[in-house]
Amino acid sequence: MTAEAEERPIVRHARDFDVDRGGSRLAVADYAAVAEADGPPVVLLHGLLTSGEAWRSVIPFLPGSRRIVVPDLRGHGRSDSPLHDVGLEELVDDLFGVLEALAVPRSMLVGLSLGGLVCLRAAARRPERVAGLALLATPALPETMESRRRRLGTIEAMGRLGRRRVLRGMAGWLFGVSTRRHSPEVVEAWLDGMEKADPIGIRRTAQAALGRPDVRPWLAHVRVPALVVVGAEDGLVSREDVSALVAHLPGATVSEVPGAGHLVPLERPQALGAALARWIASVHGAPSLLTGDRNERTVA
Amino acid sequence: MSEQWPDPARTAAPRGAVEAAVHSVLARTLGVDPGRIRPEAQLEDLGLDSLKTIEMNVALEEQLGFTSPEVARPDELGIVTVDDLVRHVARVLAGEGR
Repeated sequence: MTAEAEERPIVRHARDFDVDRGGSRLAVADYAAVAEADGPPVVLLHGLLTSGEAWRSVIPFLPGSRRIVVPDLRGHGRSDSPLHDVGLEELVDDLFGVLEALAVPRSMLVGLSLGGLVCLRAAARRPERVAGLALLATPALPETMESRRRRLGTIEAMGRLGRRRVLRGMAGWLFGVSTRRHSPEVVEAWLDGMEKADPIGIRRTAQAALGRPDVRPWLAHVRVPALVVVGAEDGLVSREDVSALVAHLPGATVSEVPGAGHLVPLERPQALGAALARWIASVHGAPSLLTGDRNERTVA
Repeated sequence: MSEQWPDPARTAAPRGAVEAAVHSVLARTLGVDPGRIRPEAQLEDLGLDSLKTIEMNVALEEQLGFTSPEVARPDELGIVTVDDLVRHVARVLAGEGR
């Protein structure tokens, strides 16, 4: 298989499911593999202020030989809003609940920001169910009292000052300067997608990120191949966050995406898709009886 | 709305009006004594963080009746002091963008 063939976008369609979790409906999109499966499914978990839609333009660049599972977090996308503040452990329970409902016993977890924290915790809690862990724009250091207050205040300001205006202000930190200057339509499309978002549900789910402990001790429990991705223009995740992840994840691959801020899948979907595809292939690209003549595409 | 605002680049009075409006929004948003809002004062020293920036933008847009032409953080626009902000708002109101 040549590099060109791997980069050709693959069109596929999702089946949408609702998973019941204690009376709450969690939405998940399930993309079947379009080629003979050569490894575990790939789970794409978005973060705060986005939804499973964030992966739409990334998915065509992922290997057709993998099933792709795309859940919506509580309070986001088509999932129900939580009725109370949510903790990280609850979101991990949601993730495993969704994967059980879809009969996915083991998968490669890819998470963005809060989604990354959920995937990291999932990998630490149930390593036997995780085949690989990719942390995109994921913070490692805990929030300070001050940053927690400020971030919560910003989410609450949506109700007070008007959702679109506050989100537009937040875009200055969520999107890289390259995207904002050269692809303003990406920011506008995100704002349009957030029109139906529920600020209260977002605030409750945000507690899982804002109230997180120091996640560094969890990293030692990760024994699967790991990938750390950060946008070169990320205004929220610091170099210290990335260094902490890399320092505590032995053998982690690091990929910096040029021209991207925090919302990497929206900003540089093709570059991200290519990086994820390389990583997926490197994890399961080693020659084996199962993959037959595809073995030669092993990526360094 | 910006068409209704006299061009501050060419007339002295509107610049004063813009300055007064910006100062009052800053004092209110940042919750600081209006006496501390001096042209050379640094916005960060006055307590301008990401949340306050968003609140300030909304208040400025409401008070002066304009829409920011782009999504940018103050540091990216070279806005460090109170006077930098006044100049920037005056430029936007004059339809010159950044």
